[in-house]
Amino acid sequence: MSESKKEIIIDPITRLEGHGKITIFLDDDGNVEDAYLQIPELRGFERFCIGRHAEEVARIVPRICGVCPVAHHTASMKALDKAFNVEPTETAKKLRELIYNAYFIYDHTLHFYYLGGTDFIVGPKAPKEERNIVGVINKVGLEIGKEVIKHRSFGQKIIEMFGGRATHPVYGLPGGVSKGCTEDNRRVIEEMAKLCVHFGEFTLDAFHKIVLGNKNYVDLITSDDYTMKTYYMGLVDKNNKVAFYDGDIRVVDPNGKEFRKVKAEDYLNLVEESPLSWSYIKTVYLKDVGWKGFVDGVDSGVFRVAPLGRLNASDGMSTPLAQEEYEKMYETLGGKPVHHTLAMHWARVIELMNACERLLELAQDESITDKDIRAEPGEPGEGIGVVEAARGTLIHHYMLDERGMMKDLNLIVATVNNSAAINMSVKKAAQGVIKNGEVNDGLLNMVEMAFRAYDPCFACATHSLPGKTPLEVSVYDRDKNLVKRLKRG
Amino acid sequence: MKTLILCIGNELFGDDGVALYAGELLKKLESEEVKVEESSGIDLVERSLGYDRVMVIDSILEPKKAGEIKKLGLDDIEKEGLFAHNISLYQLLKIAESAEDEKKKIEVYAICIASAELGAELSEIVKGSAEKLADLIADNFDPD
Repeated sequence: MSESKKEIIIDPITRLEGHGKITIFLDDDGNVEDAYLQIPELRGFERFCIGRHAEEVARIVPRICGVCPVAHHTASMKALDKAFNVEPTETAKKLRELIYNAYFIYDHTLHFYYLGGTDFIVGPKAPKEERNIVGVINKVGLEIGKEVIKHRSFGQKIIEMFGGRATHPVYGLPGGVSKGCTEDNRRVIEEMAKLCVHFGEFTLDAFHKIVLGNKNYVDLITSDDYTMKTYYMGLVDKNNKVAFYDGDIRVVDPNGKEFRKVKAEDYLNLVEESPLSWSYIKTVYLKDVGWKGFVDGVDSGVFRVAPLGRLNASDGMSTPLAQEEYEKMYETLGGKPVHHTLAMHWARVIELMNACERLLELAQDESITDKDIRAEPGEPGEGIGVVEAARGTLIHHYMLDERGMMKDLNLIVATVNNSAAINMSVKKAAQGVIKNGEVNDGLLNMVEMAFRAYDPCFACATHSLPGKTPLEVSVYDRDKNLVKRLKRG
Repeated sequence: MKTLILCIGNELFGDDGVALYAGELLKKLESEEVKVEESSGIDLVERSLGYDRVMVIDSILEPKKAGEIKKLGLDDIEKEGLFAHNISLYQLLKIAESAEDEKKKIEVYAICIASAELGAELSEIVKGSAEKLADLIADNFDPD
C-alpha cells in the first residue's frame, strides 16, 4: 500500500462461514481506489487425507465445515463411486438425492433467515445490534421464527435418520448408502416434506412482501454497484434444469448463450486454478477464456456459481412452483442472464422451493424403500465427484492406489470458484457506497452485502477452522494512523 | 427433566474437539430423558427443540488460560463474544431459550484452549480438563 492512501480493513467478516478480511484502499479524495478480500489462514485439509483409506476420507471431509458437511460427504461418495468403478443402485441414488434436498432446505433457510437475508428483513443500514437472527425474530415475530426453526430442523432430522447424526452424517459408501428407508420413515418424511412445501411458499411470499415490495430494495438489487457481467456455472439434468445432486456442468456466457457443457469428470478441461500471492484462497477461471485479472465481460474467464449461477446456467427448475417463480424472476429483472449479485437471494429462495418440492416427490416415490441400496465396488483408481453445494459447484477429485489408499486429492469448493467474482463485487460495491472519505457502519455493511450474497464459506475455501471473533473495522489515515475503529458482534 | 448435553467442536482440529471428548465421557448419563450429542454450533437452536434443559459444552480460544473450565451465563457469553460459525453463540442461545412455549433452562460450560490446529489429538492439559468437567457434571447431575 502506498503511503498516500488510506486503508479500511473489515476483519473478520461477519455472518459467513470461516474467517475473512476485506481491505479497502482510499485515494487522496477519500474515494475507493481498490479493494481486496483476503483469507488469512490455511489448515491444509487435503494433506491430512493423503495416505488414509479412501472410505475413511468420506467420513473426514464432512469435518471441513459445520454447515455443508452433507455436500462434502456427497461429493466424496460420488468421487468414490467413480474411483471404485461402481454405479450406485437406483434406490441409493434416490436416497442420496432425498437427503441432499433435505440439506438444501436447512442450508438455504439458514442463509435467508439467519445470515444474508437479514440485510433485507431488518434493513441494510439498521443498527448493527439488530442485523442478526434476533433482529429478524423481533421484526417478523416469534411465531414465524418458530416456523423457521421447525422447518430447518426437518432437514436435519431427515439427515439424522440416515446418517446417524445431523451435524456430520455418515451414510455414503462407494456404490450406495449404508442404510435404507423404511416405510415408516418414508411416511414421516412425506409429512415433513408437505409442510416444507408450504414453508417454501411462505418464504417466497415473504421475499415478495419484504424485498420486492420495497422499491428501495429493488433499486439496490438492480443498481450498477451490485452488477457484473460474468460467465455462470451450474449442474444441469438432461433437460438442462437445475440439478443439485447430479448432472453435467454447464456454463453460459455473459449473454446467456451456452459456452460449454461437459461431464463432471472433464472439469479439468473447463477450469484452471491459480494461487493468489496475498490470500490463502485460490482463484479459478475458465480455461478456454483465460485469466485477464479481476474484470468482467465476455473476454474474462471469471465465472460465478451459487444460486444465481445455477439459475443462469440452466433452462429452468425441475419442479412446478419453483419454475413459476424462476419465470417471475427473469421477467421482473429483464430476462436471462441476471447479472445483479443481490438477486442471488431471490435465486436462493427459488431453490429452497425447488428442494422442498423435490423432497416431496422423492418421499412419495414408494420404490425409495426398496432394499437394493448398494452395488458391489470394483478395483480402486481415480474418481471425480461433483455436486452443487448450497453455495455453488463443489468438486472432489481422488487418486487411489491399488490398496484403496488416498494417493492424492484436489478439492475445488464453491467459494473458490466464486473467489474472483467476490473480490470484484466487493470492490464495485465499495466504490459505489464509500464517497469522499465518509465511512460508517451502515456503509461498510453494504460493502459486506456484496459478498454475503454469495453465501461464502471460508472454512471450506481454505479448509480452515472457522473464525470465532467479532467483526472489526479499522480506518487508517495516509500515515497509517488509526483514526476510527468499529466493532461488531 | 428432558435434557440435551450438546457438545460443540470439531474433533479434527486438535483441542477444538475437547467438548466432543467430554461428551463421550458423559454418554454414561444417557437415558430416555437425557441425550448427549455433538454439534458444530450453528444448529444449536434446532437441536435443542423438545428439551427442557440444554447443557452446552464448548471450547474458548484463550491461550493464557488453557485448561481452565468456565461455567457461563448468557450475559457472560455476550461479553465473551463467542461465535458459532460467526453467528454469535449468545444469539443462538437466546433464540433456543425461547423457541418453544416453555422457556428452556440453559447452562454453558467452556474449556479454555491454547490453539486449534489440524490434528486428531487433544493436548494433555485440555484432555485432563475435559475429564474434570465430565466428572463435575456427572457428579452434580440432577435428572429432575
